[in-house]
Amino acid sequence: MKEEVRLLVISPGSELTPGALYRHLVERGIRVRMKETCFGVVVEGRREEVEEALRRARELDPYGIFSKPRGYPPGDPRICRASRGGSPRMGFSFLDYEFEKLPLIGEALRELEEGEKEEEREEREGRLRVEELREVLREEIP
Amino acid sequence: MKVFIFPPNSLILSDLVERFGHTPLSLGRAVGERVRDPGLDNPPLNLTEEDLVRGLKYVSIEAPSGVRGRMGVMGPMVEEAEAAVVVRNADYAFGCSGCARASLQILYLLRRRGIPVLEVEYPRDREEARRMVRRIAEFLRRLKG
Repeated sequence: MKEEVRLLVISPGSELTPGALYRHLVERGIRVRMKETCFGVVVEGRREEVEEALRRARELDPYGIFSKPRGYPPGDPRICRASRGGSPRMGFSFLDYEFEKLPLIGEALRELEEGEKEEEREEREGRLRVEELREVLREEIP
Repeated sequence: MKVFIFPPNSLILSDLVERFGHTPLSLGRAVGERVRDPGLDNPPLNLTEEDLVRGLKYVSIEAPSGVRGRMGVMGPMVEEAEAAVVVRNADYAFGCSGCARASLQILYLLRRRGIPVLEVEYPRDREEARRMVRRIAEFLRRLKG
């Protein structure tokens, strides 16, 4: 049984709050350990359950929630700021830097997906349906 | 496919690689496997002696322990990778939680392996973000064949 810890980070451009995300996951009955943080939620549990939590979280805002695996479990005394005497958690500066870029990435993802849907729709509309082809053939070949 | 990401703890790259259907080889998962080992509980250590010995495969014994330790964790990840996405202007790969020499060594090993590598840059505006995401999406979809 593989355990995994995952950060669910809410983009600053999203209207979601960590509290709302936390409650959404609790309401959906996801069986993982969770910790609400300033940038989102840290979830810990069996890999399948954690993936389910991510899938459920993305229902709320598919382009506003980003995730990555994290090494240490939430509240681990080895890296917890309380037991280390303050200062940012290791890796926080980098996370903070990427956090600022998330609205740009989310918007680019949305545009990419919408553009592809549009292309697909145009392609589908442009394609001749079988019934129409049959009709044309009947008219042309008596 | 297993895709190595650089910086190996990048949230953006890890997320994009997963969104497009591949497995990111990220530092979080590698560290997670080590910290769950009951023999490892001394802060701020997240390495074992075996990692340092493993690091000797990639750098010499004279290399600083920071480089050797990082290579002990990340070297096998580079070997396991089938493709890679690299951010060129990742300033945070160097600093209190990074190491410039280890980063150079990782990039060198990646190039030497000859696997498909995509190099991008962190975006500063919407247009750059659009270009970055489109390039990563195309690269990852092409990997799927």
